[in-house]
Amino acid sequence: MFKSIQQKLKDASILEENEPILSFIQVVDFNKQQQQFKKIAKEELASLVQNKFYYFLASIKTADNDSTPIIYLLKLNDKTNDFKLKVTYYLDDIKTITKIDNTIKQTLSNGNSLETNVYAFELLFRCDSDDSLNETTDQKLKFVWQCNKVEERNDFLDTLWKLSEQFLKASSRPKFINYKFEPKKTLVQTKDDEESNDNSIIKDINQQYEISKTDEDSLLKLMSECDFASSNAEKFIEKLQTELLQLDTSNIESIMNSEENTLKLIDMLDVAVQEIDKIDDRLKEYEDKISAVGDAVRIVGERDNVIQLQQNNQFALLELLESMIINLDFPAENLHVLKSLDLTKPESIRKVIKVANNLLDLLETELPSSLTKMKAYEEQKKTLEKYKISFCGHLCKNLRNAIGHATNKHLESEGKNDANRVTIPSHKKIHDDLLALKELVFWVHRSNCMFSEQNQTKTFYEDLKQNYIETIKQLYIKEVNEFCMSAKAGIAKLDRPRPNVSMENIKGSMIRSLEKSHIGDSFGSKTDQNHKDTLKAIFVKLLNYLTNAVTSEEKFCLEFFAIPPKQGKLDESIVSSNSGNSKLLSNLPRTNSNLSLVSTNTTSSKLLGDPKTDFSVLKEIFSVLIEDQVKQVMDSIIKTDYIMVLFLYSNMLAGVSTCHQNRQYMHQPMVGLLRFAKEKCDEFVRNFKEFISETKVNRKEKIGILKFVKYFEEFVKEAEICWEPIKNDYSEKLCNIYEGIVRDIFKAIEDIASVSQKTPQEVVLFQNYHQMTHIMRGINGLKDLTRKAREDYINWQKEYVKRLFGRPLEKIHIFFEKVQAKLDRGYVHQDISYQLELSANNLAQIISEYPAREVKRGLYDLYNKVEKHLEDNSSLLQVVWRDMSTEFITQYKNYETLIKLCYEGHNIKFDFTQEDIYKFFNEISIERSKEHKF
Amino acid sequence: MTSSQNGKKQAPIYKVIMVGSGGVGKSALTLQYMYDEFVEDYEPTKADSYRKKVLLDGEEVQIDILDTAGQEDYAAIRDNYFRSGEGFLLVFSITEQESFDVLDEFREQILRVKNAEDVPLILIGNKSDLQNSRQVRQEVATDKANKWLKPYIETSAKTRDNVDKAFFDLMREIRNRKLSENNKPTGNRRDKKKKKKCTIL
Ligand SMILES: Nc1nc2c(ncn2[C@@H]2O[C@H](COP(=O)(O)OP(=O)(O)OP(=O)(O)O)[C@@H](O)[C@H]2O)c(=O)[nH]1
Ligand SMILES: [Mg+2]
Repeated sequence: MFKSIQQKLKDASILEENEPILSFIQVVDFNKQQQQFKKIAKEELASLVQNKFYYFLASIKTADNDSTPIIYLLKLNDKTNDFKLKVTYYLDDIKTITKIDNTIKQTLSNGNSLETNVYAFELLFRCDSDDSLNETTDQKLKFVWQCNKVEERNDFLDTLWKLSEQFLKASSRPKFINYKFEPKKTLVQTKDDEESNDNSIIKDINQQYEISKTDEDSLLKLMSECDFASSNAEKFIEKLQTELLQLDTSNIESIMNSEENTLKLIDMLDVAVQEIDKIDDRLKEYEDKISAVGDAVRIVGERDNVIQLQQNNQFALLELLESMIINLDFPAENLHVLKSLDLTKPESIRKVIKVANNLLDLLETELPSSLTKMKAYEEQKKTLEKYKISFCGHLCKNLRNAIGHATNKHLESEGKNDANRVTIPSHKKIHDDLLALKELVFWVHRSNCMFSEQNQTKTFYEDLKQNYIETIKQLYIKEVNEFCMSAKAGIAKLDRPRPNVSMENIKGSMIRSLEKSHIGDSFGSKTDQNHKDTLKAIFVKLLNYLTNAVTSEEKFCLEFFAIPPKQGKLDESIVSSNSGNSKLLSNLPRTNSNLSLVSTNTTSSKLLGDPKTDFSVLKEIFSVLIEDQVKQVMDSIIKTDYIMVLFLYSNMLAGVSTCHQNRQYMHQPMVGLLRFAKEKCDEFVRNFKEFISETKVNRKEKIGILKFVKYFEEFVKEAEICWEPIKNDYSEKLCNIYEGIVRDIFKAIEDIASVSQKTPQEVVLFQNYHQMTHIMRGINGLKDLTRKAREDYINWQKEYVKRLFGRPLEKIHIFFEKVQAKLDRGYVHQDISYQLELSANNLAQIISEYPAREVKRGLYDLYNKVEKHLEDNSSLLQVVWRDMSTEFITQYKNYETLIKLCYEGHNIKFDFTQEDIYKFFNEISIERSKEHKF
Repeated sequence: MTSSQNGKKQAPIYKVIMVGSGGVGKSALTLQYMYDEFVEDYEPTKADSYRKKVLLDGEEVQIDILDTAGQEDYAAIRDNYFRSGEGFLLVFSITEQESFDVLDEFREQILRVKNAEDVPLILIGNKSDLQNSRQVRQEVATDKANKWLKPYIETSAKTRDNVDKAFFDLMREIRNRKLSENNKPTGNRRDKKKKKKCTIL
């Protein structure tokens, strides 16, 4: 145990490295404890004493061969469990050390007496000015310390005694009073032990420099060996010397013997070297002969090679010329196929494609540059080039016709303008017709033919594309417009007649929308819900049709204007930028949000997988058409029922994320629509919040559930319906909206409550907070705000009850409030009736003013008042009235208690009993239930 | 009936009162029914009220629930609010015999206060999810219900088991009671009704 404390003290640098702990003792400041002793009961004592522990520590400081015994007074910090050095005493500073054994009898505050054995010692310190024996200094220099265990204390004193005997001059030793050193004796002590016990200080010190166990072992071993050796040392040395001498002589002999053998060996080596030189010379001769033969063979081989090469060259030249002729040959029958260009039958189309591709193949073949310088080549190339251009022009004209033809056919079959369009017609037929020609379109692209028009060169391919776009765009404008018109007409039918439509502002339409659904009638709210459902169905249908149309157009365009990757010269810039992008993308940190993860994946795979998925054609066809038209529909939905913004917003959130996942072009207009819907929704919320904060009430009118609270309920109802399908991904967005509104509502409730006159502020607060709790309770993200609303509801209801329940006995209530106030200020019960205004007479007088029938009337009035304060038909009436009744009875019983305590013997009594009160309440409720029943 | 003709009439109100000892789960049942939530912590109620619109067999009605204190300081106070109730859920916890035993007293108080021999009422054995600590056997509870000529339903406010059933069955009982009361009209009541119809036509 000492070791760990010692370590701790060293860590705290209270002890120096080699300062030992000779004795360690836990003590309590006796004087301080005595002062507190008087006040506390026995059981508290233990805890108190424990908190005030000090520790004494006896030690010895060694420096320059001089040892000074020291005592440290330490304090243990309860929290950190660290020691703190309070004082350092030198032993020779102490004048006397007195051992105190005492039994103290304490009388505690609770009357019990307590006997305690006190084991203590007193330290009296030397004073600098020796003359003093006066009281004050004496006090300062005298300390009495109490310890827990007598053994510990004795041990400590023993240590001090031993230290002083051993290290202090007789003159500076402290005087021990009431103490005699007794060596400890146990039954089994041996003589040796006793001896060491007497020297215990030294032993203790040694302990601090203890030799480790292993060191000791080896030392012992060494010693034992030495022990044996030293007895025979001299004999041993002699023996060693003779043995050494013998070894020396034998060494010298062996050196002399080996010299002769060495000389022989050197001679043998010389002979061997000469032999090797001879063999070397012969090898060189052979080598020269072999190289001469090799040269001859090589010359013969080279001659053979040249002959072979000449032959090969001739063959190659022949082949080259043949292939060149094949590669440039375009037979007349092919030319005929191109010129006649029959696109009516699939097989003839196939033939045209084959021939036309052949033409391009010829033109694209790479011939060695030396050949291309031949005149024949150049001429043939020019001819083929001419064929290509004229065919391309011819082909494009035909393709344009085909586009026009397919579109017209579609228009005819779909009938003329149709204002009541219920679908967007399918373009499948157009697409099928044109897709039969798709390889020709690709040929046009591959041919890369250009023409110039108004000083601009253009590829035929681009021109063809443009032609398609223009034609089909017109078709869509017409069809989408008609479809949206019919949707708007459907919406308009649902619009209820409203007062001065043209004058209605945004806020008005917001109120109308919220009002519509909440006009509590079952019939009305049901039709309203039906209207909403119809509006939603119209919009969903519109979006579905548009999405389908765009999707099939997208599929068609990608196929019709596609460029198969194997042949088209990949646009270098796209490829490089793509690979750059993909690298960039793959380096992007993965985000947590689902959506952004999807976006990274899809963009990168889109860029890598098929680099030609570009939406430029679709963009031109639809440009702003879809956004514009759908926005108009949205607008008219909003005009019909403003709160539908919630639906539009939630619906677009869902729509955008689906399009995004499917990597559709539709994503682009959808994003625009989402933005639009969000703006409208924000605008609604902004208006709602403005409406809330601007709500004014007529302060002279009764205030029930505030209008905006009712509206909020409608808002929540609709929002929850709309968010149901997307709640996993977007519930946070809705929660944020809620939170903003709720905070504004709370603030507005408080503001309105504070100016209300007719209805007590508490009623405004608790009724509305009760309703808000009810509305918000089921919403997950609003737990904290709901809790606040509930707490406020409960608190304000309590306040209200507190304010009113005293009314039926008002004067008595006031009287006893004064009594209570006096009691709280420390008056004794018996003295209360001597207070002038609180005299028994006064009380009797006041009580006499409240005969039973008066109280009954008062309670009736109270009930009526509460009923009038609350909303009509409020479900809180029972709740409030129960609290009032309980409070009233409790208070009545409290008065009775106070009367018994303070006015005993004055024979003061109420005119009514607790039973009577129950009866009154009962009568009230019977009467009420009659009134409400019909 | 009148409501569908007029279209402006408020949905009919059904006033339900939760009765039973403290801690049996009256509030838990109410909150589960109202808001689909289960509150694990026990916070003794004094009194609280809840209101919502529901579809009862296709008809929109409003249910008013008064959740009361199991531990009422002055038992006589109960008389007052019992009087306002139209139907009662007498709740005990199947894990606590005592809560079952006291229900007879509650029932008598209700009958006395309502001054009727029969009141719409359902015996509810709650906490059916805690089968392991069951103290009240199902047969014993059914016996009591039979003696009362009332249904017995075992519910769990925790798992929502039978919670809707308890409230809807009680509302149906109340509706039947209202219908039968309207069918044996006192003179007064009939007059009022007739007047109303006249104004509509
Ligand atoms: N396992 C389980 N616990 C329940 C059930 N119903 C209630 N509890 C728990 O029982 C405790 C008391 O429920 P409350 O609903 O507050 O009880 P109460 O009847 O309203 O009590 P008072 O308001 O004091 O009359 C709560 O800790 C609930 O979580 C249940 O069906 N199953
Ligand atoms: Mg409760």
